[in-house]
Amino acid sequence: MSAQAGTRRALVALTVVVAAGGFAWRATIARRREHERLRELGRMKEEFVASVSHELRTPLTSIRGYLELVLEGDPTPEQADYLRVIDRNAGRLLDLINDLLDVAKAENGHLVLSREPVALESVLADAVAGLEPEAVARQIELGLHVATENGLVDLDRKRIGQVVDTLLSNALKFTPDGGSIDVRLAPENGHVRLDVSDTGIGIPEEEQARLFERFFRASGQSAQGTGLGLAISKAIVEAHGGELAVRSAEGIGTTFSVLLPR
Amino acid sequence: MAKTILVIEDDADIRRLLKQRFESEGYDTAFAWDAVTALTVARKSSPDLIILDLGLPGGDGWVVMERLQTLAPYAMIPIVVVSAQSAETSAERATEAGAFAFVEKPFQMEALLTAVRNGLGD
Repeated sequence: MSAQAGTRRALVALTVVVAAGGFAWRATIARRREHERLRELGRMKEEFVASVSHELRTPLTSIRGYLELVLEGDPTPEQADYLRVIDRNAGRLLDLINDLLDVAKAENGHLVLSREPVALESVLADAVAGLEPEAVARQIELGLHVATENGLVDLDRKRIGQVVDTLLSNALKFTPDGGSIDVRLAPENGHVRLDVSDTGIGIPEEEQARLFERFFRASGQSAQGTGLGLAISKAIVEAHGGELAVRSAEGIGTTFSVLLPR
Repeated sequence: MAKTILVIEDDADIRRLLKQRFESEGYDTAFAWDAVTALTVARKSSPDLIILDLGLPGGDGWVVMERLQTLAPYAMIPIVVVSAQSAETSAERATEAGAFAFVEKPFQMEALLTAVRNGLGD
C-alpha cells in the first residue's frame, strides 16, 4: 500500500469515526430532550390533577355540609337512608380525588416521605382495630401475630398506615363471611416482613401480574374502591426501598407481603 | 355578648352553610369574599375569630393572611384556615404564616366547629 493510499484510508476512517461520534452525540441530545419533554409532561399532568382535585373539593364541601344539615333536620327513615347513600358516594369521590393526587405524585417520584422511627406493630394494631367492627359483624376472624423483636423501623407512619389499611380492607372485601384474615409481622434478613393473608376467593394467576396496575380490578370485585389502592401502596413501599408482592391460589386465599428495610 | 366570626370565603354556598351553622351555635357572623372586602369587613365587624379560605381568586388567600397578621388590630385574632389544597401541601405553610388551625376541604362540620371553639377558647 502506497503512503498516499494509507493516508486516504486513515482519513476515511477518521471521517467515519467523527461522523459516528456526531450521530452518537446527536442521539444523546435527542434522548436528553425526549427525557426532558417527558418530565415536563409528567409535571404538567401532576399540576393538572392537583388543580382539578382542588376544584372538586369545593363543591364536595357544600354537598357534604348541606347533607349533614338535612340529616340533622327531621327526614323520614327512608329519606335519611337515601341521604346517607349520597354522603357515602360523595366520600367515594373524595377517596378518588386523594388517590389520583397520590398516583400523579408517585409517577413523578414526588411522594414525599416524612420518616421517623416507628413501631410497626402499633400501625398494625390501629389498622386492625379500625376493621374489627366489620370483621366481628361478618364473623371473620382477624388475627394479629407479632414476633417480639421487631424494634423500630424508619418510615413514614401515615403512608405505611395507608398501605396497611389498603391491604386489610382488600382482604376484608374478598373474604367471605366466616373466613379468616391473618396479619403477621416478623424480622427477616435485615428487613421486616409483613404478611396479610386471607381465606378469600383468591386471584387467578393471569390477573396477579396486573394487580398493581392503576384502575385494574380483579374479577369478582364489586364496584367499591378506586382501583388505585394497590398501585399507590406499591409506590409507597418502593419509595421506602421495600417490596410489595402477592401470592394467591384460587378458592384458597391470598397473601400480600411487604418487605421493608430496617 | 355573642362572639363574632368573620368568614372570608369566595364560594356563596359555603358562606351560607357556615352562616347557618355558626348562628345556630350562637355566634354572630360577618362575611367577605375577596381580599378587598376582607379588610373592610374586618374593620367594621371587629371579629373574635376569622375563617379564611386560602383559595380566594388570584391566590389572594395568602395575601389576606399576611395583611391580617401584620396589621396591628388584627394580628391577635385567631385565624382558622380552610383550604381545598390538601393538608400535605398547605398545612405547614399556613401554620408558619401564623394560622391558628388548618382544616382541609371538604371538612366535617364538627372538625371545623372544634377548631373554632378552640380558637375562641370556648
